[in-house]
This record gives sequence, structure tokens and C-alpha cells, in this order.
Amino acid sequence: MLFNSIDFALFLPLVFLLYWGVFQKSVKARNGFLLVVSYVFYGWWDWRFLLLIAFSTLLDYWVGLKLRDQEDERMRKTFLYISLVVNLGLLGFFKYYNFFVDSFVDAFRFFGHEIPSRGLDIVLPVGISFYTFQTLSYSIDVYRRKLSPAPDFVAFAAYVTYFPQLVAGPIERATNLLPQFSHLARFDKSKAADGLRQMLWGFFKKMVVADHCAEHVNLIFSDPSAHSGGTLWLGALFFAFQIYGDFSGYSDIAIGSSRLFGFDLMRNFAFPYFSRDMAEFWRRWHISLSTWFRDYLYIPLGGSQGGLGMKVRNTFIIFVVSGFWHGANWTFVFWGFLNALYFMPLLLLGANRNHLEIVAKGRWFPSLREFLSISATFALTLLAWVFFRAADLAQAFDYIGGMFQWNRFAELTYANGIGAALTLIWIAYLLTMEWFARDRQHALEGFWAQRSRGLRWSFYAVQIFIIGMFHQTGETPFIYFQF
Amino acid sequence: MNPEIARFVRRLGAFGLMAIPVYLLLLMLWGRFAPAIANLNYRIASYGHMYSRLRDVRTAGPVDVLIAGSSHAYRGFDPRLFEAHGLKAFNLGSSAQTPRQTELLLDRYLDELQPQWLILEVYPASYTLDGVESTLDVLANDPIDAGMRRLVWELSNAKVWNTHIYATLSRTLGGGFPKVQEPAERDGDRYIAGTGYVERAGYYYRFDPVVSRRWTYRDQAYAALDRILEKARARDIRVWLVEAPITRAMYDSYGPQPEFVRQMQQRAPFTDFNGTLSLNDSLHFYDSDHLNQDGVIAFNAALLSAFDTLRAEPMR
Repeated sequence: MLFNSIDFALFLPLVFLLYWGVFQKSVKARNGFLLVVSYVFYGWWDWRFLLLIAFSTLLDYWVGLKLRDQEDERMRKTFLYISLVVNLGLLGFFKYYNFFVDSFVDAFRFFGHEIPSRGLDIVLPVGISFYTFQTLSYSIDVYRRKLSPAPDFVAFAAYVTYFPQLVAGPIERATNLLPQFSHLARFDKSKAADGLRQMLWGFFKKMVVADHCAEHVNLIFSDPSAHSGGTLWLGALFFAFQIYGDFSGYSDIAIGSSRLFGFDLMRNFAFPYFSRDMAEFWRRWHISLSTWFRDYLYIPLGGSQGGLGMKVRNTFIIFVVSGFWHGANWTFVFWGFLNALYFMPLLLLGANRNHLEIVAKGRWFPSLREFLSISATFALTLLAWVFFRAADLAQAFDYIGGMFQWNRFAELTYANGIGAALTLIWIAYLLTMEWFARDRQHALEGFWAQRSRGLRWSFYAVQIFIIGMFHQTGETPFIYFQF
Repeated sequence: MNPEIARFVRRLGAFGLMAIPVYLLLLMLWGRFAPAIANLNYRIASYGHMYSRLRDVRTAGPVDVLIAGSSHAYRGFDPRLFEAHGLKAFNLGSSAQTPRQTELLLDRYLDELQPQWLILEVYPASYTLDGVESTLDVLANDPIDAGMRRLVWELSNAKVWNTHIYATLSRTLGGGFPKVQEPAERDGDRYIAGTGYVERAGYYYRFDPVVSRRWTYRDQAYAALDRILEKARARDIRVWLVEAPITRAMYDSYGPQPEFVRQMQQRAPFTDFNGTLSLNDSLHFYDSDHLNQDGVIAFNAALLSAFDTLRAEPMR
């Protein structure tokens, strides 16, 4: 079920009323209810996906129990490996099988040997990368004795399938989310109201900003050679806000709707386009994935404890693996590699933790120096996003080549100029709202909450009108579902 | 229920009671100054002459032949040529009309027109569309009835909802369905009064590269076609499914559609004139998929000849 659908608009209030009105009698009843509605939510796409997630849930619950009961470290390690191999094996099969087959075929062809391709027609289960990492975090934390196994199967299954964040995150840690399934939450009116505000902002980002950007991005990226350098920069800019609006919008809706049920999910985006360098950007972009890789890959590899060589190696590994996590295509691998390259100067100069505070703290506007560093960081991300969006590496390099074709840079090659101008207005509105809320969790927190009810409600009503009048019609899936 | 939750729900309800009038007020203001921008498209008496067609249809019956379908219908089947052939016809086509909007219009006008034959123009692309464009066309140019409200609900599209709300409110507050004088000639089109037909003469197609495409047909479109056929059968109206000619360049961009042809042939007599009639892309069309008047004359001659043969056959 998509968040931006009529189905969800009916589903959420119904679940909310039943949740608080009927199923708050006991933890078991509450968890059982959440499990059932989460399966309905997920099965709305394709009921066959439920079999896979049920299998993954059963396996990791069983592994958790074995890890609890087993004292022998070798046996404990064996159970952990079972969880790793099966979960990553399923992910690898569904997401990467055809990629590896095609890459082998291409490699043999490169050396002059033709071998037949044996790709399979595999349907990628929605959100598999997200819930696989979530269940892995459980097995690893139980193995490390940082977490007690789930008290009962229903609580664990509800944790794995919890519908607000099931298909596109935030990728929750068992240490944060699982304990919330062991007690009944008290209804907190201000938390629920703020959840609704966050959802409203998420819908705006997804339905107005991201979906309009997508329209231009699809046209410009479909034939980059037909466009001038200026238009290609515009296409990259639109993609930067498409992916930001789409993914952070999803996270806002997920976190906001979860707060309606009294559950706190981790923050996933912290206004990343106001970052002053790439290290800050990666502390603010897809935080749940970056910290997952930090905790379960970077640190086990030695982190920054070893010499400079080890730091450099580990940084490249996590960026490249993170790129590969996003999709079975060399473009994602290169995107990760490019971000590692961006990160290197900061790492080598020991400047990767220079900007831990928000930019222009206590001031309305950034200094010139801050403004220039934000602009430079954003320009670097734009170039990297080209690889993320392009169909293949050749198209990405052609696209970037075109961006620097100065002789026809300013030529108007994009027919839908009015549509593009309107989209730029929405981007400017988004940036303005988020700039003035950059010390908060989301754009509508705080400032509006302090105004009179009449003013607040009028603002929300206008915001709803903007969504109703300006969103792209037709259901548009969130980009990150494919990951 | 916990009193705090009850209070929260009541507060939400109060917000809804305040937000709905604000939304409606802003929508009315928006529609007043920009009726066809963003998710509102209230274009009355506009492109395609739907307003005039839907005024004429009320006084057109009874007819021998009723034609329905997409723009290929109202720009390709000339009732004057039918008249010259001894057949009274009316053209109820509209832009991007899918079978679902055809069904809606037939529900409104079939009994008044009492045709013996229904010629449904079937263009493969019409079976891939969501029907939003055509619904907006009907919404703006005809009174709203229960059938339209059902269709609005089925489509669940914000543009359709906004336009529906705007049309309902503006007509309620403005004293009913608007009466306008639509010019017969506009942007090279000439509406032929009393026929539903739009003529485009003296324009010729200049080749533009056509992007190749693949169609994904909608089951709902086939279901709507089935309901139309059922209604026609119940009234003893014979049906002919006709795929009107388009330029060779456009036809080749999606190639033969065996699945679509099979679906049509198993339902009613079906003729694809792209396979049987040879027209010149430059001389007989004014754009990639619409005939100019020269093309219409050539096509209608072949059509009426085939129609004579079909009429002579016993009912299937």
C-alpha cells in the first residue's frame, strides 16, 4: 500500500481508531493487531511477498533464541552465520542474481568468449533491503549480547513488519524499536499532533516537489544529448530534489504516522542539503543506513582504530557497499566510489568532524563562507546524483560531459519551461521552510506549533490545498521501494 | 476510548470542518482566475467542440448510425458523408475518450438517439488511458449526473475531484449549467452544426520522428466495452468496431497489436482500416494520427462501402 494513495488514507484512520480504541488492553493484543495490519499493508502489493518476510521473521526469531540459550561461542557464531548467510542469500538472489549473471557474461564477452545469459525473471520484493538489514541488526545485536532476544514471537514479528517503516525505512535498530513492543504506550496528544504535522510536510515533499521534479528528470535524462549544459545541470538539480523529496518525504510520513501509535522511529534525514562538507552531508543523509554500515561493517572492519591505510580502505569499502546496496547496477557502485573519493580529503586532513553543529546556529542567514561551502558541497552531490540516476555508466559520463559543454550552455532546450519554473518555486519554498527549521526535527515542528490555533490551522489548511492543487496526479511509487 | 484520544479525534474533526471550507474557498478563487492550471481543468466550450456537440446531441435523434470514440471519431467520421449515403448519423466522439466515457455518454443519450447501428471507433491507445482527460471534457461541458459522480469516484484522481467540486459549486452558486456561444471555427477546426463532427481542411502533416511505444491495455477498458455491447444488444442495436486510419509512421511506432485485435474480434465485427486502406501520410493527415478533410473523404468512402457489406450480413 502506498502512503500517497486513497487506500492508505482510509487504512490509517481506521487502524488508528482500532489501535487506541480496542487493542490497548494488553501488549499481546496490541502487538497482534499491529502484526495483522502490517501484513495487510505489505500484502496489498502482492501477497506472495508475505511468505518471504514470514520466513525471514521465523528464522531470525529462532536464531535469537538459539543465541540466548547457547553458551558455546563457536556455536553462537554458527547461528549468527546462519542468519547472515540466509538473509543476505535471499537478498542476493532476489536483488543481485541477474546483475551477477549479466556481469559475468559481459566479462567473458570482453575477453572474446560468448556465453549465453541465463538471467531469471525475478520480481524484487518491495523493501527487501530494508527489512533484511533490520532483522540482521537484531541477530548481530543479540549475538553481541547488546540486546536480549525478543520476549515473544508476536512482538518480534511486529517489530520486523511494523508497517510505517517496513518498505523504505528508517532502518530501525532492534535496540531502539524492539523494546517499544514490550510495553503499552500512553497516548500523547502533542506527539500525535506533531506526527500529523510531519506527515503533512512529508506528503508535500513527495507529492508536490519530488513528483514534479520526476517529470522533468525523466524527460531530460531520457535523451541527454538533446540538451544544453544548462538544461543538464537543471536536470541534475531536479533529480537531487526528486530523490530528497521522495525519500525524506517517505521518512517523514513513516516517522509521523508511527508517532500516532506512540512509537518513536529514528531520524533519517537532517536537512542534508545545508551541509558544509561531504562528511556532514553523510551524517545528515539516510542516517539510518549510514549508521548501520558504521556499526555493522565499518567498526567490525577496524573502523578508524588502525593506521591511515586501514581508515582509507574501510571508508572505500563502506561507500562502495552502500552504493551496491542501492541497486544492482555499476552506476550505484560508482556513485559509492565517487562519494568515497569526495570524503578522502576530509579524512586525510582529519577534517571529517569539523561541522557537527547546524549551520549558522543562532543566526538567520549563513556567512558568505558558509554559503560557499554549502554550494560547493551541493554541487558535488549533484554530480554524484547523475551516476545514481543514469541508466548506465556510459550515459552518466556522457551526461556529465554535456554539463560542461560551455559553447551551448545557456541554450534553451527544454520545452516545459513553465513547468520547470513552477517546480523551482516549490523547491525554493521547501528550502526556505527547512532552512528556518534546521535546528528541529522537521520543517513544521516548533515555529508553527507556537502560533495561535487559528493561524496554525489556517496554515495547515493552505498546505493541504497546495498538495491537493499541485501534486502530480496518479500514484507514483517511492523511488526507494526498488531498493 | 481514552478521553485524551477522544479529545484529539474531536480536535481533528474540528480542524476538518475548518479546512474543508478553506479548501473550497481557495478552489473557487483559483478556478475564477486560473480554471485550467494545476489540478483543476474546467475548460468549457474549448478544444474539440464538446460543448456544441453535447448541445446538438439532445436534438439529433433519432439517427441510423451513432458514432463514438476518441478524437479519431469526431475528426474522422463525417455525418454529412453518411447523409449523402442515405444514413442519418451523429458523432459523439470526444478527445481521448476511453470506453468508460463512451459508456457514460451512451447511458445519457443512447435512448434519445435510438440508433440502429453503433460504430465504435477503437484506437488501441484509448484502451491504455486512465480516462482523466476525457472525463474532464465531459465534466466541463455537460451537466453532472449520478453516472458522472460514479465515474469521478472510480477514477479517484485529484484533478477530476477538484474539477468536479468546482463545476458543482460554480453551477450551484452561478445559477445552473452555463450557456455560452461557442465559435464554430477555432484554430483551424470547423465544427459542423448538428453533426458532432469537426472538420480540418487544408492542413497537411509534416513528418516528425515518432517515438516507438508499447501499450499496456487496461482490463477496465475491456470491461466497459463489454458493458456497452451488452447495452446495445439489449436494445437490438448492431455494433461495428472500427480502427480508424492513422499515419503509417504512427502506426509503425507501435506495430501490429494481435492481442488487441483478438480482443476486438471476439466481441463484435471489427475492421482495422490501417490494414485495408492505403492513405498518404502527408496528403491525408494533418498530424501524426488525425485525418484532414481529404483523408476523411477517402476513409469514409471505404468505410461506407464496407458498412454496406456488413449491413447485408445477418446479425451475429
